[in-house]
Amino acid sequence: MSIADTQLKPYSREWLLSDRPTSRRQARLGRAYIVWRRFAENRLALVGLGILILLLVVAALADVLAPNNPVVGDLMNARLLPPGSPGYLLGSDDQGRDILSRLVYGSRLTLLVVVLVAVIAAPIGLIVGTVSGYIGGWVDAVLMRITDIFLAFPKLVLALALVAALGPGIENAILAIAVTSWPPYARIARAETMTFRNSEFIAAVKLMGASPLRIILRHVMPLCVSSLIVRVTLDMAGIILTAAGLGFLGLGAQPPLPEWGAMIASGRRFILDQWWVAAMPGFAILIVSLGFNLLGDGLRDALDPKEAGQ
Amino acid sequence: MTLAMTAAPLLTVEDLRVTFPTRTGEVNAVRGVSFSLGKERLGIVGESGSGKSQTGRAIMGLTPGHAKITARKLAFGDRDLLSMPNAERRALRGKKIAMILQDPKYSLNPVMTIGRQIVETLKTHEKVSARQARERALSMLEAVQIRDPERVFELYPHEVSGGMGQRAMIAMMLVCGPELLIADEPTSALDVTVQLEVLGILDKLVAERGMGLIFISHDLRLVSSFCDRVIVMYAGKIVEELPSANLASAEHPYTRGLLNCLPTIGSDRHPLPVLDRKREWAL
Amino acid sequence: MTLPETTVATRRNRRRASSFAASVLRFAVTVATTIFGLLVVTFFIGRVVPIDPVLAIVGDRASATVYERVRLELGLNLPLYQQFWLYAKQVLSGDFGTSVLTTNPVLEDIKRVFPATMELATVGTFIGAIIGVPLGVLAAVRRGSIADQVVRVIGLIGYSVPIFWLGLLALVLFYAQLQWIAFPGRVDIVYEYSFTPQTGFFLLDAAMQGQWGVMWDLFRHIALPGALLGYFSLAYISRMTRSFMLNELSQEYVVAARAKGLSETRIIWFHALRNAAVPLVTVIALSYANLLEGSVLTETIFSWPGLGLYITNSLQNADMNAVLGGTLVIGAVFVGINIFSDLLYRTLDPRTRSR
Repeated sequence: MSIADTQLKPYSREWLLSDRPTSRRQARLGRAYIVWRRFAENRLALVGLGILILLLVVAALADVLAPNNPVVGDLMNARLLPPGSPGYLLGSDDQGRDILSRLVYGSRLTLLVVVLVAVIAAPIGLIVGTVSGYIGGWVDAVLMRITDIFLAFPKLVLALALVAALGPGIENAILAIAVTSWPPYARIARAETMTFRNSEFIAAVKLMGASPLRIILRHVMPLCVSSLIVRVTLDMAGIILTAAGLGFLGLGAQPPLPEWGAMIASGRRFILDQWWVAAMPGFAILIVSLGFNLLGDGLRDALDPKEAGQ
Repeated sequence: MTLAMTAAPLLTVEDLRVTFPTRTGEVNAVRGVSFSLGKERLGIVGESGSGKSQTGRAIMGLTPGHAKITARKLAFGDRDLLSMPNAERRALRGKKIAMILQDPKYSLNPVMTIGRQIVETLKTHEKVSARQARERALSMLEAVQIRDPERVFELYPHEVSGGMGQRAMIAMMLVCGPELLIADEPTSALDVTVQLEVLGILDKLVAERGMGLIFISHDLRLVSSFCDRVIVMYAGKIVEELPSANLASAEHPYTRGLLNCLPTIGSDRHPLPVLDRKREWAL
Repeated sequence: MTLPETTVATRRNRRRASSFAASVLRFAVTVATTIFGLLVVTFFIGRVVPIDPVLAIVGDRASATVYERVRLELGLNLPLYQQFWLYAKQVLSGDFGTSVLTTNPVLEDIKRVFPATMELATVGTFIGAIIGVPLGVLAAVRRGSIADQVVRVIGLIGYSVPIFWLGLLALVLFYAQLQWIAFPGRVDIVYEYSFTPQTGFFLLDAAMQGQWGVMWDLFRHIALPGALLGYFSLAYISRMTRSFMLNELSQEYVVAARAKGLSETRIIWFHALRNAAVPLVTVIALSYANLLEGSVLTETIFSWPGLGLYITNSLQNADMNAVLGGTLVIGAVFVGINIFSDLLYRTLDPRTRSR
């Protein structure tokens, strides 16, 4: 664009794609727009985004969308009805509760788990990783040893042991999963930090007298954020599956809360004749997990086009 | 007209075009290149993006699959390369037409010993026993002036220096005795002193075996001293073609610009001129 | 004046030997600190986290005398680091406590059940590698084609599906409806005594003892859980293979190989894959470790008498000693496999060998 940019209409497509941005905001928005365009070209990624939005909508509007009460069922008349029964679109379970309503409300629990784990684990990982990568030396060695030790346990097993010690319950499950999830983020943040620890712009900021805290906070961390976001999104599927596993073993949300994993466990008894009680929650988990995986893949390809290829 | 000229020239290229489809439209890497080559040395000079490497790869048939290659004529001797079935084209590669790549650090397979890689070329094109293959590989290593061929035979590419690696690559590509050699920046990744050694070996081998050579490089001076003829490429087209002896009397402004950029001993050229690109060269 | 060859050689050898010794030392330190870390974590979970660690160990049906005895044994009145020292000594000498459920020493229980998990994980990894690697190669070679998309979708579903749920549904289909496979456990009661378990791998034992009837039954038992874990494994392996192969196929040596006139098949399998094999082997080793985790829930569904089932059973019965013992063992095996795969990488890559 060799025409003067003052002639471009702000926030228009040309303004965003201009290679001579006149303000920081224009540059930032322009970059975001390019990433979004790359992302949007990937149909599967859009599907993932759509699933996520659907999850958010369902969770937010659960009261409106659920046809029946998810916790109190009609024991007398509605026990184990097959899918397609009037009023019970996906069937009902052994306590006469509508499975669709339970799934709808269960989406809130799923979202809760995912958001809380991300909010707890990602910052911990980011802090540990950037501090470790930037300061180096024995701080790095110690922090990395600790990270490695947590990485030495398979996530589900460690979460299991923690919940066993803490007692069942959704808060404990979230805590346990968060504790097992932060190490990969620390590793990523550390790897990213180390790539530009010795770069010139860091040296420049140091020369200007910035303290290590300021450097890490204002300069190092923002650069690690994008790869961290990708990794967190990709991990969400695993977090959901781990939470479902814990729920299946009775260690997550306690009855009568409609946690999807626990629903599968309670439906297990009837799997032979009333397969829908256990099958439906599994589909929900599968779809949401798939959505996060697609979204994460799409984000990664959009943010790092080399991975995606032409 | 000598006997060599009455037969079909070694390589005929007429209106070669190479196009790559990309996200932002088509990129015309090579836009109508024509030349012919006998048993002589031709240099192709150009900067990055001029299409010189893509020309070489198109001749070899190594352009990435999604690219489009067209030409009025692309022939090796009297065999048309474009209409040839893939298997036939592949049979030519390594046996009749060979290519040397730029950096032996990357162009040699890191998990195979050098000897095995040379033997592999032989076994692909000729029926030889393992022992014969080994002997020919060893003698080829000697021909590229590697002093201890038995030892180098067993080494992995990362265990040898750049110059030795490049010589091993030359051995690997010439072991079947091809008639045409395309050298794509063969010395650009080497130290200057090693460059001269490798060039000397190339010189000797090409002369001994009566091969045709296409020497692709960005270094005008190097090419002009090594080759009989020089082609200058810019933005996918040939802008000048002349015998290297007459380089000083080049006419096209781009070539003159390149020549002007080279410092010469004995003359004061402050400041050193910089190439001033004109849009019309790219048309 | 140059030194004689022998002196140069001995100096070089001595330097190599001392750097080798240094790396061995570093390795030993890493292993030691990791084991130490594992112990700290399990100690923390077992003694510090629960409100009443004694109760966690003896269960809520124990008598007051047992409770008191265990409380003294644990030394809960001692400062934390002394407690840890006691704990570490105990564990390292093989005493993982006694299981509330089975009343056996936990280590013995684990020794009994662990081979079953290993057999399952081995079958799963085998299936994952045999199918996953070719699929990944196919996807890479035909990048962007239908085949590529299909392989990626297969992998994607493998990452997204709750394995225990898939196991349940598979059980309904293949056991209840089709009766193709046998369930539960590893072997039918009828056959249980027809062969002598020696290696812990029943399939191997039966084969070695020529018990073909038993082998068929064993196969029918392991088929579904093995296939399930195999699917899990191949999702991961095919994805990594594809990624590695794409990386290799874009390298210059592939162009050089084509310039030599080699066939594409040869280039794919003997050049690109051979290079990709180096990180791929470590991926396969790591996938084995992942299957240990996957087996926890799979064994629960199929009542497969392995370490996973042991842990989940102990969990349901609040048997902390058993749970922690199992966690520790899995953690240690995980670490072992990681180290092994690291070593494997070093041996296979000639670039790291001659250093």
